[in-house]
Amino acid sequence: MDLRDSAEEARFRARLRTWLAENVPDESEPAVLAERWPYMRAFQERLYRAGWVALSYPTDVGGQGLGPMEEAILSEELGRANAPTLLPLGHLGRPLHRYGSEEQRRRYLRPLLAVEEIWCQGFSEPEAGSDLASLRTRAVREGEEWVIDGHKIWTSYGAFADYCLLLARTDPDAVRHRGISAFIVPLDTAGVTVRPIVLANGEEEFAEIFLDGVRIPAENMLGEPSDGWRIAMDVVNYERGAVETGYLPKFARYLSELGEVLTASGLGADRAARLRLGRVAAHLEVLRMHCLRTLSARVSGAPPGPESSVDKLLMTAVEQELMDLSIELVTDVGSPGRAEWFDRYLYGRAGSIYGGSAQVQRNILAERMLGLPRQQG
Amino acid sequence: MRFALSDDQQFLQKVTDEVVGQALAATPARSAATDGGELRAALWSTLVELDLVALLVPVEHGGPGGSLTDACVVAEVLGRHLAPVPYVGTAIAAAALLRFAGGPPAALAGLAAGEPYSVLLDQHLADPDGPDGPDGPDGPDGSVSIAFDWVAGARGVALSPDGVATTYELAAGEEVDDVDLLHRLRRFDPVPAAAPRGDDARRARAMAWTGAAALLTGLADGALATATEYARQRHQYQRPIGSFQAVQHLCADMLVDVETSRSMTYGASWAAEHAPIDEAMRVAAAAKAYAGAAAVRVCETSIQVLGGIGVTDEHDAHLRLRTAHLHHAAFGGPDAPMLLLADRILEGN
Ligand SMILES: Cc1cc2nc3c(=O)[nH]c(=O)nc-3n(C[C@H](O)[C@H](O)[C@H](O)COP(=O)(O)OP(=O)(O)OC[C@H]3O[C@@H](n4cnc5c(N)ncnc54)[C@H](O)[C@@H]3O)c2cc1C
Repeated sequence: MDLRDSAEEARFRARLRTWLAENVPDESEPAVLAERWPYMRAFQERLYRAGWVALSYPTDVGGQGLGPMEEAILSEELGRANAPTLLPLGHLGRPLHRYGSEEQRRRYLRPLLAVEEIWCQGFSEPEAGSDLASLRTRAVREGEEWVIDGHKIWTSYGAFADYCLLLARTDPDAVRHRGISAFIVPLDTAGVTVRPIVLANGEEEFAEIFLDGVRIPAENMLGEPSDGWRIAMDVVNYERGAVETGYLPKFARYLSELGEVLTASGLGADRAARLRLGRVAAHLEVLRMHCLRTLSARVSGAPPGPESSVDKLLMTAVEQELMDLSIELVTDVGSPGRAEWFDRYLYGRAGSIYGGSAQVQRNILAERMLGLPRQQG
Repeated sequence: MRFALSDDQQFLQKVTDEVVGQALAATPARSAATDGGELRAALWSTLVELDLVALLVPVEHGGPGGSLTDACVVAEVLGRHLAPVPYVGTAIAAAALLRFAGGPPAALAGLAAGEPYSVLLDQHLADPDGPDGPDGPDGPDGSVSIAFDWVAGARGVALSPDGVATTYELAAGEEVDDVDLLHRLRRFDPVPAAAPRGDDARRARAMAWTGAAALLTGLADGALATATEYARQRHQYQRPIGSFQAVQHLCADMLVDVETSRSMTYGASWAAEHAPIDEAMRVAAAAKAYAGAAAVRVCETSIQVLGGIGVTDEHDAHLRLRTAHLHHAAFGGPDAPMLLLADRILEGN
């Protein structure tokens, strides 16, 4: 155990801190996604150009060739500097890097990491949510092309995206998850229709994607035929961590804002309110330590496995507890902050649904980590 | 930055686990509730011989000069096995207080050699003049009278009103009939005492909190192991109860609590010893608050998975839950760490 920065890490942190002090925008994050998206994207582009994101990707694909611990430092310093939230898309580069051909990695990774090209994740379908392996979107090979027909839903940032990492059934005879392949689908291809879906908080954060005879070149398959399931599991395992999604600094910011709310509402001396705040603060500290442990385990290069469900359940619990507290504290009806906190609270309810629902995470832990006997139908 | 146990620490974990596991296979932990201190003494001398009790005692006072992380590795294993020894009270809390708050060197040397020391607390297991320590029947505000994790012959340790770790010979005293059957409390004549205020005393407190968190993590881990093993074996409706999703989800929630408590505890085991004092207190407070609540939750859930047998006197599940509650409350009461964390945020505004 040594939570001190090594000499190199300390230098990295100091340089990053200086850069952030000079470059974090003064104006705060816009509340509305339509304005927040360009704001976040512009900051992340600058961050990338200065060499502060994509840290643990190799340099030949546009990364910085550093390790997971630098990712942890980045996350801490972004929080400290009250920087804009990163686009939660970092995990989508992982499968491209791991399964992509030389050509695909060279073509797609750098623009993805630089947020010049936006990606989205086309897994879920109207009839295939938790039971992802039942997906029905089909890809049929015709000469040097794949022809895709189907319907994806809940695609985060689908309306902002240029490319979709899409799962489709390529072998209708194979059982369930064995016949699935992954594709790189440019969303400006003929036959693609993207329709935004409005979240409960009013934002068009996700979308549905209709694919009607969409033709893409054969080389747009990622990995081998039937690699789709493995690729999908890799993506969700990364998606389940709080560092990859950049949520840790966001939660830290919410917590300190709640401290301000508590003081402003005259509850600073109220024992029950302090206990609630303290409990959430402890939970956030747990998330920070757990991320350090997860990232340290990744130093060896091993990708995350089913234990990432612990990270996801923890991250969800922290977010929902924070948001529950905000609803308890911001009780002044009609006050300007209240509606905004409520929208964050609503968004927090999604935490236990996306990336595999909380129940699915528990199924995974019970059977894959604890080795309990399989559920019977 | 590296969050991982060293090879030596993994070895320490393995050896402690084997030694304690064997001892308690021969004589079950529960016998300590009625054997007049026999098992406790035997197990304690084993730990002393292995130099595990002295881990926090510096080399110049006869200790092996171990780290708090080492001591937490041992505490976690002891918690898992429900070992009836005053490890957190003596080897971590008392040792840290003596070491950091200017305790007499002879006491540290004595502790390293196996002499028991009990931290003195007030009747809420809190600080004598802290927010949770109002005047009580045991003495005026500003005094302590309860020896925590007491064993026969133990001397008391408390922070004197001027903030120095002071030892006391304890007269006969009387047994306190409290919730934990394996870790005893004993009431003595009150002595004047203060809450930890100076940086050194706060360092000792951060270490005590972290040590308690390690024991609590081990208690929870043992409860999880008991529940999952039972869930695999016990059949109802012609199938193992562990194949019922409702039972699986109880077990999964326990796993989350155990793994996250472990992350928090080992992070704190580094920070409480090495980080600047304000950060040390903050991180240790989070460990204590979180691991305490999590251990109580997990021990309760384990009882649920066990069904009827889980609420019998005969099963160890209640002993675990009892020990979890006592350590959740120790060293300032269960709320003190959360209040500290809240006040840090409020001061920042
Ligand atoms: C904000 C947000 C962003 C998302 N982004 C994306 C994205 O970018 N790309 C993408 O592909 N998908 C995305 N999703 C979709 C997400 O992965 C699915 O919503 C999720 O997998 C659940 O599927 P479902 O909505 O169909 O619910 P269902 O699967 O129908 O589940 C409904 C309820 O049944 C429970 N349930 C289902 N099966 C079981 C079981 N076996 N055991 C116990 N309980 C069960 C669930 O826990 C849930 O409570 C997103 C979702 C949200 C909310």
